Amino acid sequence: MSDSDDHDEDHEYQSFEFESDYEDEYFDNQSENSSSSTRSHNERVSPSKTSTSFNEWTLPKFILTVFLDKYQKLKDSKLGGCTDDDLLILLHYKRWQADEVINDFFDNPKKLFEQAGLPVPPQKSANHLKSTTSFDCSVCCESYKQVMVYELSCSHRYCLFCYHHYIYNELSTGKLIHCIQPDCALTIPHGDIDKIFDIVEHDSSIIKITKPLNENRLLVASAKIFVDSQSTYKWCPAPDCKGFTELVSSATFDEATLDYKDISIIPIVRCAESHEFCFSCNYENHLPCPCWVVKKWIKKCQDDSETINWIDANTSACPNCLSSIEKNGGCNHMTCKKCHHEFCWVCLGNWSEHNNSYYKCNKFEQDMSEIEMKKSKSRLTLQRYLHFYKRFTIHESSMQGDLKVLKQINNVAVMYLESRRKDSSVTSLAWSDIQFLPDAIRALSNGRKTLKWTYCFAYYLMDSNFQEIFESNQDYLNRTVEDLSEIFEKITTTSTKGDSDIVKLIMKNKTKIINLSNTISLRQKTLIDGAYHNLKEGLMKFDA
Amino acid sequence: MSLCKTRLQEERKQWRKDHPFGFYAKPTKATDGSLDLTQWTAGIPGKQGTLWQEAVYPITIIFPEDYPSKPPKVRFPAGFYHPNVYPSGTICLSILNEEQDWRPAITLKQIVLGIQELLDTPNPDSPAQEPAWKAFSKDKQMYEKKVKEQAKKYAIAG
Repeated sequence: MSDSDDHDEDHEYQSFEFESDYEDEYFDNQSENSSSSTRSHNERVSPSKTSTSFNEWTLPKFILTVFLDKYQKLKDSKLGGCTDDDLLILLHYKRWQADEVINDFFDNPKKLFEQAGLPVPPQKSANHLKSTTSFDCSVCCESYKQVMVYELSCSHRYCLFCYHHYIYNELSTGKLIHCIQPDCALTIPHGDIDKIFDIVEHDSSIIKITKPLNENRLLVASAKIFVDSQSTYKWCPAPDCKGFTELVSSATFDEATLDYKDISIIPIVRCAESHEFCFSCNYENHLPCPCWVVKKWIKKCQDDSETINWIDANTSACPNCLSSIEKNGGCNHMTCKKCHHEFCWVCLGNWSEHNNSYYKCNKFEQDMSEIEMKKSKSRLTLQRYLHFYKRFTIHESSMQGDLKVLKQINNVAVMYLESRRKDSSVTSLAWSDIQFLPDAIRALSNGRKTLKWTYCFAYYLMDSNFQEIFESNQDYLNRTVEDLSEIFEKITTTSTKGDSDIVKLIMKNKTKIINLSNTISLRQKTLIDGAYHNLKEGLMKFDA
Repeated sequence: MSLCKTRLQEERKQWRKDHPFGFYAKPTKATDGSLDLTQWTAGIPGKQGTLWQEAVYPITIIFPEDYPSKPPKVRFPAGFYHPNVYPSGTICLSILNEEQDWRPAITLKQIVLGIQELLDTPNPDSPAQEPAWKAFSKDKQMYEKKVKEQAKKYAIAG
């Protein structure tokens, strides 16, 4: 909606160059630890410039920047008598508001300490984990000859196993965890939680190298809950991806009033592992489809409504056992294969009662043509749906196949280079020589993703000349994607002499791969831009 | 033996050794006559000098498999008249709530004493049923009458 006023559309439509200025702006928002080399070709495929800006996060990075940054600051301000453990607890208690901690500390340190569950007067941090002999734990009621116990400065002792259980349950709240003793408000320091887990889960009393603070179990749990509770944060929907994304700003995105023609305002974001997804509906990047079409399509695929329609129109339930029966010929005297019930197909009445007045059912004749029409129509819609659905799923499964092949190729190349690097006399291959591979992988999988969704798009599209243009664009993209996929496939299947052979084949095909990747990105962009333009101008319409 | 069973046996031992005056608590018998340690019946006497006096209110205590990590479920008979008791009889008490103040070290004795305390000091901020809560906050006379009626119902025999 907002796009027409800020740039020249004709220009936008004709040039399919990468929008470098957008990317620059985007990079500025990014944090330092994503290398820009992998990004330079990581073009965000979007129909036009949108104001969507976002931050990609992982939990450890988030904890480091949002939680522990304050911790460092507070450490520098040197609050008298506080240990590092105390500071972390105080900050956690005050929901990471360093200013509040400082204010309350200077206002009434005793009250602040009591509220946060710290001993008053402050204690030098002690080792709370002890090994003891002949101990009866009052929670599990076991009598131990020798056991590790945990106690805070309150001296309430419980065995480590009970503490492990207890903390495990409490972690889900993401809040500070207190001593097991009822009415005891002392807080367990963050570091102790990891220590207890390490000892119990590794079943040894030797403390392993503890995790860095930004992977602390309580901080991780707390960060997860924070992310869940904020509408400006969303987890990446890709399987096994632990990344999440913060939406900093987007075009006025209001689903209720959303003008369905403008697909440029779909907030496509990316996670820390470069998975693109839609922030609005939390599906993968589904361009060129608008979110509402995606939702409709997913629902349709889930409840298989076309199949049900077809079954409804083409079969009748046996009046006795209710099995679905399709009549494909013969007379109207039906015998159910399952229960051997005999009935009349036309009126579904019992055949034995029917015998003499069989021709009575002729009065239905005139309706037959109508029923036939309904049948053929429903068969047609089912076929149409299956046509699109098949292609949709084919691309989905090919994508997984591609990824497998590509990962293999990439691994081989990296390993090969690694081995060559050690042998310093050989300088024929450099790292930069295979940088094109990850880019090709991304181009291929993004291209497939877009292709996949074009079938959903096409299913709902009304017939028009522009639909034909769309289809030819789709065809072009399809061919390029398949070409690139084929090259990779060939490399892995034809090489028989092991890794070095694969690398040779890769290098031989390098130009081809680079060219095809670029063509894919270009054609993908053409397709999305075209869809965007035609939808906006009302040249293409959805059949809602 | 499971953690839950060990702890429950200890709870039973402790209860038999010593328990607060006027209370009772015992595991139920399973159909085959053996004791079912995960299901208990218990009685809470009303405190002397309160509306609840001279009666013992029955409760059932069901210990989940992950007790003592998770709190037991404690119920009065369905329809019990008290602002913090749900129509089903479930008691709304913070120490019995996993998300609130439950700690694995809370004993059976502490639970029953907590419930006795709750009888005469309802928490008006967490209403669990309408009739008792409305009467308690708006019509004290009516509330007292109803509580006394209930006390008669559960009066100590004799």
